[in-house]
Amino acid sequence: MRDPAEFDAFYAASSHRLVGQVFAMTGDLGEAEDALQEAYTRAWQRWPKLRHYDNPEAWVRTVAFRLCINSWWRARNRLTAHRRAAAHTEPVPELNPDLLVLIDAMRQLPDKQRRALVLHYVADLTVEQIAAETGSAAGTVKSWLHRGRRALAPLVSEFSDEEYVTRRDYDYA
Amino acid sequence: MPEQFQRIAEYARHGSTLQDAAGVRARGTRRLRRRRAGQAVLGTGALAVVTGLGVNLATAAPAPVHVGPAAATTSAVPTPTPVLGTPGPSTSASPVATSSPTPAGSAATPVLGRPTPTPTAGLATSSPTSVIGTPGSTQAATSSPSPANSDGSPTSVVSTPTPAG
Repeated sequence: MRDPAEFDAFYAASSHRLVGQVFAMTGDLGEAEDALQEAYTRAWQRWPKLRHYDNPEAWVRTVAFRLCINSWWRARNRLTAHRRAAAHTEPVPELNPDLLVLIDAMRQLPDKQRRALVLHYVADLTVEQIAAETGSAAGTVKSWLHRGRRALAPLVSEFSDEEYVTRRDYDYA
Repeated sequence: MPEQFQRIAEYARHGSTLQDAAGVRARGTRRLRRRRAGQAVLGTGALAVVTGLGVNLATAAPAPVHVGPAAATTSAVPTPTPVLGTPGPSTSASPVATSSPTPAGSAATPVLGRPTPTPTAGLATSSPTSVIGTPGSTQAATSSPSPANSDGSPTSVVSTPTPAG
């Protein structure tokens, strides 16, 4: 049985958190919104089963991330994004140039490294939680994080601090 | 969380205009309804196809059974109607010629379910005569009386060459 009130509460509690994570993954706000809404739509279709999951938010996030790296879906939604941009009347605050550079650098990373970085630094998940969500080994996740940090070190002040990187690595070892 | 990542997430939170939950639910419900309607149509179509196939198979006529060359049989049915096992005793007396000779090739009707022993079964009765031999032996081969078939059809003769003189 689908309980609308339960789903609405879940949506209200998680959507704003998730849109930040998906945007950090894609670097495109319209695309992140589309992917997230599609993921929530699918979640509603499966809500009788999904509501019993320990963490439905992880399911929605995984679906949204997969949609973001699905080129067919992105191409199909390009027209929708244009329509949305035209209908977007509220002004969007400008993004700082340094953040734009960071987003651009993130988009150059492989999908898995980017996903691990977002889950670790934006969603604040531990290595074990990332491993469980991505279906990978903890060592693999650490490797993704290490490579991602190394690639972004010139842009992120914390990543350039070798002591910080080492401490984070050993915290979850 | 590094400060840059935090600012990126905050930017998305403040700048995003997500649809409300009711709109998301409405979209999902429409999709579910469409999917169920499609499944119903597909199910009905599949049921119709299966039913049609079953009816076709049940009412289809059996393939004709080839018994053998009817020209070689002594009992031939002159009527062209195939006899398919009538359940009761047949009142219409169809003339069945059992003793009178039938010209070859006239009885082409397959007689189903009544295999009759034929005296010339297995002989090639319709093949043309082929005589193979040397010029010297041809006369002897063709002049000698060959064992005639019961229906008078030509018989193939293969003769071995005989030394002249």
